Amino acid sequence: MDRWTDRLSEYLDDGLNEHDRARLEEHLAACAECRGVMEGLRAVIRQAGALQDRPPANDLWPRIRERIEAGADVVPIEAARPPRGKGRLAFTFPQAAAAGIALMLFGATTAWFALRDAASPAVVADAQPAAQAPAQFSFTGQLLAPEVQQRLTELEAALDAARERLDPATVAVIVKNLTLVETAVREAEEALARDPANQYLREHLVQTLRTKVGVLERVTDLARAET
Amino acid sequence: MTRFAALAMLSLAAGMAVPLSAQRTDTTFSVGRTGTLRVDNHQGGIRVRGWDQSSIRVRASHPSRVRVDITRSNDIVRLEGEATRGPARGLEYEIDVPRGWAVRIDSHTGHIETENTGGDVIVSTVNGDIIVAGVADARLETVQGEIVVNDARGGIRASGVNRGIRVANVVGDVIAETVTGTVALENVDAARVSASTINGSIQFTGRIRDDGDYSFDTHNGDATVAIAAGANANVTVATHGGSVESDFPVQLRGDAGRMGELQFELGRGGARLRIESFNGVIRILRAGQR
Repeated sequence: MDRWTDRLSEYLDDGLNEHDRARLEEHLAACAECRGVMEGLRAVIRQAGALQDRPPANDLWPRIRERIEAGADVVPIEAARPPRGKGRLAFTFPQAAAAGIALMLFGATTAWFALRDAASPAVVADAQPAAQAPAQFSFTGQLLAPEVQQRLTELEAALDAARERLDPATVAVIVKNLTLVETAVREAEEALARDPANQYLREHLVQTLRTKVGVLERVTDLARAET
Repeated sequence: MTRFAALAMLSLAAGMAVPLSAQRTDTTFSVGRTGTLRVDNHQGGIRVRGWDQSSIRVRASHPSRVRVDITRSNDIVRLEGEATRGPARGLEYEIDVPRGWAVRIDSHTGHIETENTGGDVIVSTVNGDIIVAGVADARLETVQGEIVVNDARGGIRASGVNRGIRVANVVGDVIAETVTGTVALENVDAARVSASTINGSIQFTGRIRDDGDYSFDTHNGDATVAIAAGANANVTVATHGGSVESDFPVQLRGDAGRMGELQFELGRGGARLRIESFNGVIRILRAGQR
């Protein structure tokens, strides 16, 4: 990620000063990746604007703000926090490997369907009961530039071939970590489904997907080096 | 044959096997004041040290079926293991290079360490820790291993997967990312710092320059940033299921942030400081007070 990527939202929100805005526009002219992310953000804004407005299920913001505005000089802002264990996975190693394989197959399949059919519910449909989901579309699909989505799909498809070339211990470690990334993606998707206008969640999802792309690229590089 | 006799014979055979299977290479050759050392190694530890001589000394231990191939081209010296069959496994290096030389190491398995080489360092490995000290720019990648950087005068890019990253005493930009493990940045003086992990904490202590850009992002972990009094920064913190604590008096500005974010200024504002944790605690500490 370059230094401008996570300032794109500020640009769209007209939150940059004149100097930064000019520099970002210069950068956009030269960086296809950032242009892609920008288009993704615009698409989400369009989608979000069409959604029914409903309060987020887990919005900490009012409590955070209330505590700060109370005027405390030293601010421990204890926002409510879900139990640490909730949503966390504890696997034995074989379970982790099996879960990873299943998640990767799931990820590749949903990405494939998302690319083939934009109306497909993709990831969100699995993450959120239909009655609670504010919309039936994939934020991953909306936030990633088409070329990044394509790259992700290619990398996922290349994973099986890479697996055959790498030693089992390395594969197990990679599967474990991809499982963690997939879990993080799913959590971000679920949170965003409940709170689609949340700028942080959008950017966090993009960042997490970039991490996934980075790990998959690393795997394919390693596999290439083994040939 | 008694069990004792059998064990004694096995021990004798094992003892004899050592000098037959293990060899040592020890060679020293003159080089220029600047250059690049490249080491390609499949399996085995590598230790490179900088010294104040215009020569390179290569010491290596390896099985008899493996030899060290040293090639020189202009100002590049390349070391590579050659085996009579299969990959060159079990090749352990200790290398001294003139201080200031660049070092590039590509490895598969083995602990890698560079010490006071003073120049740029690039290391890529799959299984093994990477420990560098006394470098300029460094680009370090491992899958199963920890990355440790100490005392650098240049940009650091560290990429791990299954272990943490520790960077200390650096003057230069830092980009550190991993999936599992803590990213700990200590005493960093940089215009730009970016640290991210999925399943680990982030810790930062260092200087916040007025024109700097600092970004810390974790999914499952706490993010702790210690800031010296007098720093000037526009701070954004963001969390989903976590919480925020600050030692500093917080003055909200404008609409105080976009949805899901909290924005405030420290001092006069200036540096861009962004701290995110999806599930963990964000702590903004006053440096030296805890």
